[in-house]
Formats: sequence, structure tokens, C-alpha cells
Amino acid sequence: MLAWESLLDTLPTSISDVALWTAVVVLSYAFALRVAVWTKHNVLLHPLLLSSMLVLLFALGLTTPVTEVVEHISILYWLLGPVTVALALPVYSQISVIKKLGGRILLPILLGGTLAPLTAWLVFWLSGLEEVLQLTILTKSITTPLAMDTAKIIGGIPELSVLFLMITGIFSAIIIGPLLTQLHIKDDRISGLSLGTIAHAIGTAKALQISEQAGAFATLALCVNGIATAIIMSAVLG
Amino acid sequence: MYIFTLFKSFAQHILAIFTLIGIFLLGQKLTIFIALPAALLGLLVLLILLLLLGRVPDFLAQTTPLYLRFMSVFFIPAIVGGWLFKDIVVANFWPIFIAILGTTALSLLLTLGLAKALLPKTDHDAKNSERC
Repeated sequence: MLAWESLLDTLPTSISDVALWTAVVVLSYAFALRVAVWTKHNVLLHPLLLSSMLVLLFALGLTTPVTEVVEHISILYWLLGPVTVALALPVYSQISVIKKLGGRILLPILLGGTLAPLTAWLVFWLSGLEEVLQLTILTKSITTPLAMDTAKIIGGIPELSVLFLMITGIFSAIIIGPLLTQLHIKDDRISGLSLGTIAHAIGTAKALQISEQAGAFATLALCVNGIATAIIMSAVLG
Repeated sequence: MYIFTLFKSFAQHILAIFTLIGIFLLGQKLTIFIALPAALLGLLVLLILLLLLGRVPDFLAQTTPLYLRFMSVFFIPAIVGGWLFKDIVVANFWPIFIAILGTTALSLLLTLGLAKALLPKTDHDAKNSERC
């Protein structure tokens, strides 16, 4: 296959293959969620990593090429669109907080959310990596569904976008504890806001483990940063 | 009575799914005029509708938390597809590794610092913990 081509938009051919592989994905996901509960949400066993590994193992076991598997499950990728629309509800429920705190809350989110992709892009650019990779890394702090779409619009690769996002999220979840201790931060709003800004949904899940308040601020940061960064990137590079 | 509740919940889900798909398709049409991701345009359309309405309709309030909770299942195709790009990632392992880890730590530090400096000392807002 061509190295730079995303397969996510190809149409499936056989309905039974679609049914089989969709079932494999859903069952792997359900199993991975159980494992996450058993292991007390260890970030290294993140349900998404584990379930994707399981799907790849099934592909290997049934000797189905991964390219075909991706085609068979592309219906799930399409459905992400409508589900993303539903994010309007948490945004709506946070609007009063945004109105009340205004710039005090928007400034750290927007500055942090811009610095993260720009510095990463800078390292890629200095390392002389291909342009398609440079464009993809720009989406690394956007919430996954918006990041994939944004990657496509600005000329990056959705699949790699998700990979970069996962690494960012998992690494943030690992280092946040020590950082909070070092900086003597005990305010859950600060940790939540930072996790949501830099580490999107994985950071938000981590914030929810800290406290409900941290989770709420993470959600807010994730929404604001995701929407703002997606708009800026698409407008500048689209 | 249990049957009735079940039926009501089923009807709410059907209504919610069709509403979300409808708004998403509208978002896709809007991409012709505005170069933004279709899902983001749909999100903004629904947000504007909610703001105009001034409340969240029951059928959405009852159903969408479930979809958002298990939203990540829809990321799996992309992660599985990521496997096809493994050669590119392995070939550029160090720049990717350093860029992501280093800059993530740096920007996390900056955001923590800024938030610490700017947020008012006490506040008990934002009780809601749905994920976005």
C-alpha cells in the first residue's frame, strides 16, 4: 500500500465481514474496559491500546490483512462524526463557568493549547521530518475526534494523529502527579484545566480520578482547546 | 410500566441518533462554505440550537452521556490503521519520541503555572463531569 494514504474513508464491500469485525472491535473494547477496572485504570493498559492490540491479534490469527480489517470497520470511524456532535452538550453545560471566569480560564487554555503543538512542530521541523508528519503533530493536543478531522483538512494523517495523541495523553497522565508535587499545586481546578488542555480525553480521565472538580475543569479545557485549535489550524493551514 | 419505560428509552435513542446524524450531515454540507471539520461544524450547530432553546431537550439529556462515555470505541479503526504506518514511526522514532515527550512536559508545566497565576483562589463551579 502507499505509505501516506489513509484507508479510513474506504467503503466496506461485504456485510458479513463488516458484522464480524465490528463485533471483534466491540468485544475487544468491552474486554479492555473490564481489564481497566481490574488493573485500577493503569494508564499503560489504556483500554484503547489494549483493544486495538486485540483487534490486531485477531487480524493476525485469522490471517486477514490489516488494510482489509480497517476497511471492514470504517463504519465505526464514520459514526464518530455524529457522536462528536454530541460534545455540544458538555460545552453547553460549561458555558456559565466560561462566562464567569472569562479570560482567567481562557488564557491558560489557549496559550497552553497553542504552545503544545507549536513546540512539537518545531522539533519535527528542526529534525527535518516529512511535511506530512509536521502537519500531523500539530493536532497532538486536540481531542481525538476533532484531531483526526483536522489532520485530514490540513494535510496530515488521521491514523498517526491518533497515535501521537495517545502518547501525549498517556505521558501526561504519568507525569502530572510528580509535577503537582514539585509545584506545590493542591488546587484541583488547576490540575484539571492543565490535563484537559494538554492531554485531551486521556488527561480528562486522569483528572476524573483526582476529583470531580478536576474532571469538570478538564472537560471544559478540552472542549475550549479542541474547538479553538481545530478552528485555528483549519483556518491557517486548511 | 417497565415495558413503557423501555419503549420510551428506545424511542429517545432512535430520536437522538437520527438528530445527531442529521446535524452531522448538515455539518458536512456546511464544509462547502466553511473549511472546518464536519463534526466540529455539527457540534457548533447543535451548540447554537441549544443556546437558542435555552435548555437541553430530554431525549438528548437522557441519551448522549451514554454515547460520550463509550465514544472511544470509535477511535479503534484509526488506531488499528496506525499499524500500517509503523515503518514511518520506527524510522523517525527519536524525533517523534523527543518532540512528544519533551514538549508535552514543557507545555503542561506552562499551563499549570499560568492557571495557578490566573485562576481566582476559590471557586466551586463546574460540577459537571461529562467528557468531551
